[in-house]
Amino acid sequence: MIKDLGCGVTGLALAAAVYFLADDLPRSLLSDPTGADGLPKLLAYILGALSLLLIVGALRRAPATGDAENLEKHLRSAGMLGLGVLYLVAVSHVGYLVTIFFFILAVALYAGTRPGWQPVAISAVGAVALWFTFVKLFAIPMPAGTLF
Amino acid sequence: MEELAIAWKALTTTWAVPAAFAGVVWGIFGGALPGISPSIAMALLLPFTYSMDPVSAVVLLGAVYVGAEYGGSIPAILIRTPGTNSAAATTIDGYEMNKRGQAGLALGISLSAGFVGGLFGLAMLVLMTESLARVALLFTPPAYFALGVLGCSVVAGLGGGSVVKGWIAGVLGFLVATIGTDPVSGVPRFTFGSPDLLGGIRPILVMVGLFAVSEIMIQVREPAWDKADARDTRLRFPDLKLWKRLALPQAIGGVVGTLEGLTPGGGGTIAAFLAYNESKRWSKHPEEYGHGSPEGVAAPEAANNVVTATALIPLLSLGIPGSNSAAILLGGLLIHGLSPGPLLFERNPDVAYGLYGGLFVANIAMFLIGLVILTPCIWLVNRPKPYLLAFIFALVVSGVFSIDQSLVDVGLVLIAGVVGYFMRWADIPFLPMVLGVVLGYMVESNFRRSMQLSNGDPMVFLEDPVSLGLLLCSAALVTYSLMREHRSKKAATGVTP
Repeated sequence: MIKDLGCGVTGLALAAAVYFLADDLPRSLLSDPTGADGLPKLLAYILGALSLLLIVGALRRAPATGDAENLEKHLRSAGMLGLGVLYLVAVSHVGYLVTIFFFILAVALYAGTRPGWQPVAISAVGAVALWFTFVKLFAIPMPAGTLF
Repeated sequence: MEELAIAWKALTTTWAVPAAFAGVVWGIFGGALPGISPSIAMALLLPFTYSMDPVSAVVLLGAVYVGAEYGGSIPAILIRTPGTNSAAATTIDGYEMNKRGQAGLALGISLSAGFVGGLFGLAMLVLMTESLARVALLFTPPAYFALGVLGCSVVAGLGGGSVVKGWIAGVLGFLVATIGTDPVSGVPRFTFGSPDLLGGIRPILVMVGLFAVSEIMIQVREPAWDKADARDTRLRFPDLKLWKRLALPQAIGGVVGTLEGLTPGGGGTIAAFLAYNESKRWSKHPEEYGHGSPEGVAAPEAANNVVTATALIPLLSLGIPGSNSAAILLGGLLIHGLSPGPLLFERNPDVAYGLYGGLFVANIAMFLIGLVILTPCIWLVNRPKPYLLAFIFALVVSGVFSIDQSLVDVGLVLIAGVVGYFMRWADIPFLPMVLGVVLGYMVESNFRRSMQLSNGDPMVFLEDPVSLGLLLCSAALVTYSLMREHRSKKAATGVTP
């Protein structure tokens, strides 16, 4: 019940946001009768209606037990995402090779491997392998960094 | 027979056979890396084809295409990360089989279905290019719109437990597809002033975020899995009984892949989804879909590998590149002063028939190379979980950046991961959203183009025979799905005490 209710309320909020954002879109002289806002507004209506259906369905059902999830688990997942965000921030400053080494090491440690020389060595080998694959083999200009 | 002799001569007097093997290796490697699409893998080799003879050059590029389309299924099954767009449908049941300790069997099914699909597509390409090319010419904007609607009609069948949640996911996908420049007026939509969003959000970013990043976020909070020796660590092929069961989904994949391949813009992704849905509809075990059904792996894999050959039909017969990959192949032909179209078969039969022969060799190479590399791949993903998660995450952020060399893309993938995490929490299925992202632009742009061409008369969709046929098929599919949902609910109510 809580999941459907949460999903329905989020859907309604998103539908309202999409509608108002679409309404604010600039008009173009090149536009057709449907307009740039036509489909987004239609989708907002549909999303709103579906969300209402979900909310009504959730309220009509008896409250179920066991919907409450362990907050600790969500925080652990958020921590993993946080490492991704850190990578995103660091890579343009530190450069790809160094950042990806620390990223692999940090994720492995966060996911439960024991600290020691082994994760450092594996991360180093992995970082070099990825760097070689993308930069040398596929000639992708990965971020070079600005600090070094 | 004369054509066969020309193909044989073309293959044996040039470097086409080694080129086919090398192209497949490169393609599988590229396709298995998220972010390296088949067209990127092909484009990277394009400069090297300058100095090659024309037959070897086009065979090399065609073989990369074959290898990359197949390669996308390997990470889809092993790490829940579709390497290419068209592997998204394989992710669902392939990864579920992997979780049940059947990674070797899932990879064996994907390899054999891909091989069968590739050869079937090649047969269609060789035998029916002329007649099927006429179908491609029938596609007008209303027909493209109807084709998109046909793809959307699958949403009803992909919803899993709840039809409402399935449609919510589909609408979310369509909303993502509206981000970027408006297809008619050029007005920026929902870009929030960011030039990186003007081109829209690529479907692969959404797929990698939804499937891979959300899975990493889930896995990090779960205890470590069993040791490698408790799992299926060797490549296994289906036995005779399973082969018989997989015959129908592969046939469905063959038909759908043929039709989608020859439609410029159709492509392997739509083919895979349609084949997945149709095989579920015709299956004797539809309840297994989404929980590790072997048929759910065979159908999309057969379909997207058929497309690797049939997508060349509009290119070779009409000179129309129907996909990015076909456009790169067109570039390969033009580099050598060759013009695709009907005259190619008259003026340069060695190249045309040599390509056919090369694609045949490429499919065999794909099978043989698959035999060699898949068991080590399974071994790799059975390493300790912390390292595996670290390398998958590193591969995701690196691969995604490589698409457009944009860190915004990496950020978008992380956001898609959060959305995927929330959707998993709320039991909202992913596939309808993926389908919405893939089809959104096609549906909207062709709807509005059609309305402009008809001066706002919606009857244009019913007056075009192809459009009318596809819309009727869509209506039939939706009606059937809703009836089946209603029947299964009724049956469930009947047996519940």
